[in-house]
Amino acid sequence: MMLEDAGFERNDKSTGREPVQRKEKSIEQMFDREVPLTGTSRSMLHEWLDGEVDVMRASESEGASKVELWTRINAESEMLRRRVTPMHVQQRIMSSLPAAPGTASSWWKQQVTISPVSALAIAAALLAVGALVITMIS
Amino acid sequence: MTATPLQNQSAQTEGAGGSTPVDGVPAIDADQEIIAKVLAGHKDAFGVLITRYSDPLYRHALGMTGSPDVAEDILQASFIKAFQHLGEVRGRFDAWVFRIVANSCKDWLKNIRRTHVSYDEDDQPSTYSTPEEEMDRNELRTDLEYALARLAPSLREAFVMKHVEGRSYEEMALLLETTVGALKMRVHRAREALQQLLEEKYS
Repeated sequence: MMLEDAGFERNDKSTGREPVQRKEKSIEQMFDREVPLTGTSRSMLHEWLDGEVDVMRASESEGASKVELWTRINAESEMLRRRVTPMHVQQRIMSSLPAAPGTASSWWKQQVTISPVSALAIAAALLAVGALVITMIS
Repeated sequence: MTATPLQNQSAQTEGAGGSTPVDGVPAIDADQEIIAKVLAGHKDAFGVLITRYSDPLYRHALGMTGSPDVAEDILQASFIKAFQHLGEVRGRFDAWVFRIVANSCKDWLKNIRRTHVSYDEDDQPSTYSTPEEEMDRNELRTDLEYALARLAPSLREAFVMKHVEGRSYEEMALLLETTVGALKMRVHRAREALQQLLEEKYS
């Protein structure tokens, strides 16, 4: 992908620091768009990294240096994949749990209990409001 | 459904993310039984869920934040939140708790501007035989983390899930509730960005 496409190297002569900031922002913006991949993007490199072709084909098509870089990145990723939660963390989580789990925190999901007296009072109030509205209309 | 893309490797019988029963009981059903136990007052049963899912969730938080301390804090806060809202679980517990962790990571990324992060306090055994190889590895790790920090959270998330966690696009789609096509785009764009940032030095 051409750097110029992302807005790099434009109006970058005014100060010494601005171009770097704009460049980083441009990278974030450029790679956060979900648009159809171009022919260049759907390269053999991606197919290799997705396990669809072997390393030889990727190396022939994309060049040995790119494949070497991604081989190193993959090796580092493999190291991270072996990491496990430190033992003390699980113990810490268990000891910091509240006494009892919540059942439903959202108020609109909670069950409401109304006593018969309350129900009668609400019904009487609604009747009174209804009668008042009818009186006002007539 | 029995697929359990988030189970710890130690809890699985074969493969990662396949239809993997635990002790003969499909994990999704097993999770529901454990949740029922916890809600009935057996608080300690929640430890089974923590043991079952903490490693992949920790790796996700570590990959997203680059800091073991922050990853531990996010994991702890997420499990406490899950415990507090356990009665609201509808469907898969693993996907539900993953979304809590993933959202916490993205919130953290939004609030923190990282300039330099390394996987400090790395007590994992090294597979490199010479000091030079170890130095190269540390340099790449630092540069990779720096480059990852430049990515938008959604791209970093996709890259970490694909490359660090080793998930299939289908698993990712299930956990993130999006399409395989959209995730492929995110992963490809993340790779292109990382390559652009790293290839000058390493190619």
